[in-house]
Amino acid sequence: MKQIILKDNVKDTYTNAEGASLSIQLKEFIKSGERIELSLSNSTPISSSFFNSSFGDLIETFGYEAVRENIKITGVTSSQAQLLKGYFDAYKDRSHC
Amino acid sequence: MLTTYHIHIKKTKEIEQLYALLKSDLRNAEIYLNLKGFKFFFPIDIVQLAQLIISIANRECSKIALTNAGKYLNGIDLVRFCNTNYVQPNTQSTIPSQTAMPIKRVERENMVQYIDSAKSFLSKYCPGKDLTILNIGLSEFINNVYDHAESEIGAYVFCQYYPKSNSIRFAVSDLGVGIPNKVNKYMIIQNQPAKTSEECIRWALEEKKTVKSTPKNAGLGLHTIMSFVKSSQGKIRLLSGNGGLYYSAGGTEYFFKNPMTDFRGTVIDIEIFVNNLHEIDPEETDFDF
Repeated sequence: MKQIILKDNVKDTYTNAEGASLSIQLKEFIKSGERIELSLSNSTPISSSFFNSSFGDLIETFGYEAVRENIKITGVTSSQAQLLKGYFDAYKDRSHC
Repeated sequence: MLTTYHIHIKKTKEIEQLYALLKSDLRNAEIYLNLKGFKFFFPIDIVQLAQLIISIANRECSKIALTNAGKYLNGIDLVRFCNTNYVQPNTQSTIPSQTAMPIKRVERENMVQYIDSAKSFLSKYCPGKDLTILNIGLSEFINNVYDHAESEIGAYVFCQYYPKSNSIRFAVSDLGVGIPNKVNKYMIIQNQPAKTSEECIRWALEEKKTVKSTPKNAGLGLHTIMSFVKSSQGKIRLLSGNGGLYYSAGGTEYFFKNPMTDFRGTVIDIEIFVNNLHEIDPEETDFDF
């Protein structure tokens, strides 16, 4: 399993550009079948723009279930979890439309 | 021929005089803006004043001068925005005598630096409290300005801590097209009937409603902020186009007609009460999808 620390691999967690950068990094591992453990430890909160360009992009490319199965997200605080839950639930509903 | 305007603003609604000025040809104009008697400036007033003064100055007018600004407005750097040659410092600064960050034009390139500075500064007044709502509010609003607003002067941001109410207020404004115009433009493309200003603002706040200004927009930003404000029992004041929204903890939520005629763009002001913020939870777990 590939371990990635978010704050070491993106410049911020607010912008589309950095979200896209994360998506590019993670896509390669998913394509090759390697599971990812992504740590959000000590990261700033993730904006919707960053999420749309990263996880949102991955969901649109591979599907919600593939993202859920291939990416384990760790090091999450309760407020980060609240944010992520809202974002992922919105995309889960979209993928079922 | 020189044209002189003397504008006296004593309360928030009178800021509309500056919006009206934007419709005039201001070349060779001298504008004297008198703030004597303005009782109390909130972030929603400050960001509007700043962006309007800059926008007017950008109209190649001869001169715009702020009089009777007072110690507070000088302290938060608002007066220096009147100087068309003033260039913002690249570094973030704070004002020792005030519980506020200086007014700032924030662009995508300096957004991270600004948010980090604001959080670091305001954390002093709420030690141990989770300020996620500040991070998310600022990043979402600023991103929205650059994604959707088509603002000629970008985003203006102001944050302050208020000891009496033990609250933090922050505001972001732009002089763009406004939510009602943006939404209705989208409705036309979608062959949908036009909406009222209230309907447009309601629509924009709904989850997954987006005008798709960029391919990646998914309609999550404003809804997320509203959720956080509600869960932390805060307040939102929003003005956009000729509509407005007020939300306060306890379920008070109403839309209203913007009292300022000729208003342009969008301004959002959020107030969060320190006592309602959660403590920072250092515990980290795995995310459960």
